[in-house]
Amino acid sequence: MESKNKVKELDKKLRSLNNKFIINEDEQNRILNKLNREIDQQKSSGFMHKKSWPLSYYMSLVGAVIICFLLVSPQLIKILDNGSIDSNNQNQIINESETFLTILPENWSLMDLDQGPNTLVFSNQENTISIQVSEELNYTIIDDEPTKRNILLENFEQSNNFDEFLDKMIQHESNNGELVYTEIDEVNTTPIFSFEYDDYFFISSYLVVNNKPFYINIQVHDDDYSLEKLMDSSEYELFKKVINSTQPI
Amino acid sequence: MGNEKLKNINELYIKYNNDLYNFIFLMIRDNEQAKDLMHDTFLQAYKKFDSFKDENVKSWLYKIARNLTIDYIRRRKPMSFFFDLTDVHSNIKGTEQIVTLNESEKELYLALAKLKRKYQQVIILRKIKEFTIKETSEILGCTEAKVKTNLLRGMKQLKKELEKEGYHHGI
Repeated sequence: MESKNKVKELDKKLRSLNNKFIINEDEQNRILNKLNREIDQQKSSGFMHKKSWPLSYYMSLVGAVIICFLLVSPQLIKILDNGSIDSNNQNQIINESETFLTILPENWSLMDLDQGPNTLVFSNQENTISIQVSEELNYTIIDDEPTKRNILLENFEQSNNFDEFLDKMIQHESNNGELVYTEIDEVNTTPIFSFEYDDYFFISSYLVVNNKPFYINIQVHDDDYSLEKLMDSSEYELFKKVINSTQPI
Repeated sequence: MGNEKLKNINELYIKYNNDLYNFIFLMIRDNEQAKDLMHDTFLQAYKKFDSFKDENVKSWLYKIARNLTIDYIRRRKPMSFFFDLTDVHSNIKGTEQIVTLNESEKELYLALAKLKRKYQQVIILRKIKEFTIKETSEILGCTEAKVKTNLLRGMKQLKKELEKEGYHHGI
């Protein structure tokens, strides 16, 4: 009886948390106006994502891709010779700040996550799996003043070779060894790591091409996926191709 | 057609924006991000509106919000997860929200934040938002049996956390 009452009491306390956190009316209106503006933009742009690019930008991007292709074509030809890029199935794509090139698998789409100009995220059609390619790995250090640091670049610049860079990254990402990182695979000589935290697992890789570091990861947005299932999937093979194809411009 | 859709989304926004914000905030404990994700939920709802069928509209919105929130959580860097759980007290962004809670609610809120996500979600939906088992399973995209199991385990864990903090009032 007492136990039942305690359960009821806890339930009541939990219910009391409902709508304890609310937004004031001004803020609600601000968000609604923003929402309506974005919907309007979508209606007028149609085929693009919510923050669509102007046509001139899009055209210049296409031009930039062509120029970049000409510039890096010797390397690409080499990669194609090695069979690393299946040119029939993937399209090349460059990031917004036009500093690197990678592949966008067929039927995958770019995601607009406000991730900044140095990162590309794309997902499969079902939106169950996404791949992120980035030149930065930022952390906000919360001290007196929040400071943003690009750990990827910092560690790269402070390392004498790839192994040292890798050690520094793993040391940092595993929170000085508190989370267990496991090397599960490799692409050429670039290792792929996984680790589990809470209910989730992470797969990532640190790549250095032409003296430039990259962070590439694959994420699953479906609770039913296990690490093994993901590694057996065609998406994982695409992830490896992305690692193999990412190049600075 | 487009205007009708926009009108519907606006009506849904007026009715559910705070409800969804509250749900997202409880999941991520970040005021600004919760607002962004609530906004994204309605934007997504607008995009998907044509494929919306005979579902319960509230559950449908929660499902979108939950998926966006989980995506956001997963996209955050691992270190953010670590900070989250090791020092919940100092890492709640939007702490102005917490002062509206009384002492026992604050304890409960912080204990909830320490649970695994799968337990948090099911407790928030079932016990705080008072969705039925069936609705909860639809929102989470899992079986009713899984909801029941996670709820049982989650509540057990929650009591343990509360006891650990020395909070015994009414539990």
